[in-house]
Amino acid sequence: MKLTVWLRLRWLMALCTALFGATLFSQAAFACNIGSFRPSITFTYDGQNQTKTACDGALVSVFNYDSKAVLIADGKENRAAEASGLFAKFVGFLAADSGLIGVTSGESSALARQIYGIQVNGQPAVSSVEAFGSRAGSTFRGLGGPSATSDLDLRITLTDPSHFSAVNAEMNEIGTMFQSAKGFPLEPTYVIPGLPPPTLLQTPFIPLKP
Amino acid sequence: MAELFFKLDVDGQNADPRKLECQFQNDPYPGGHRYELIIGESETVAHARKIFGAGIHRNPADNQCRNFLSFLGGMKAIKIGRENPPQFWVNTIDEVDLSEDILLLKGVCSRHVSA
Repeated sequence: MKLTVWLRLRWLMALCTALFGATLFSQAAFACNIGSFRPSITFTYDGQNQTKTACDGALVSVFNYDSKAVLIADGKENRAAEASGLFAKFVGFLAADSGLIGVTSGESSALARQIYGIQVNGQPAVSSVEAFGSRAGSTFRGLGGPSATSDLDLRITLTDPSHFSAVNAEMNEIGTMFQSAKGFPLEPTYVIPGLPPPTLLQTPFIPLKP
Repeated sequence: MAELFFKLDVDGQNADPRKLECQFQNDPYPGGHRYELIIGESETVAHARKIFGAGIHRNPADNQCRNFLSFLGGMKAIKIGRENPPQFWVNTIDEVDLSEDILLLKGVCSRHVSA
């Protein structure tokens, strides 16, 4: 279990680095005192109840950006509408980075590594991961792009139908960490070998590469 | 032991649960239809118990709904298969009624929009 904790912590560190850059992350890591690699002392993790660590506070404070973005999406104040143009430019810039709106290439890679790293009985349980929907550029809803809190839709292809429950459980944990870092959720849809794939129309599919 | 079944009604009419897909949207698009899905499949019921708990729950949290619909989309296809093209998409869960071995879900769904 300690190994699992450490692997998750490593992924979170990678995500933090991708999100905030080395300077901010080094401050967050310092605040969390995780540089000394003592996860089992500082917190426990049972797979169901993820105990919050001091690190959460640091992450939340950095994510003031997201709370502002939510106001923009809801249009609750005049300044929000003014700022929405800036936000649109900002997410446009990010899209150029990874092909995904609101997700940098570093974040995309960190996420891909975590998902491709899911194993069942020592074997890889996932054969492909693709983003789709509004953050991949779909305009199905006719809104001209995702809101700040729109989820990141993922099409995940399993290597075996019997892996479904295990992969789904892992994806819930990954999704929880992703949302706490990014402020918007993941939404996986599964392609299961031997079954017709789900019909997902009017959307680009962007592979996530480790 | 629960029987293996999924029974779907949309706007009061029986529909094929193999032609039902799941995609959580707290603001359904295009929406416009109401569904009731009765599930007696044991793994799905067990997962619902883990996510929602037993009893009646109205307007469960977005994360609970997203999590459960993601699971339901895969598990239902494994248990009863998938027929393409789909007919409806479940978007929300407005009410959960979970007894010992039967799960009732109610909410908003959208008709499938073909290409």
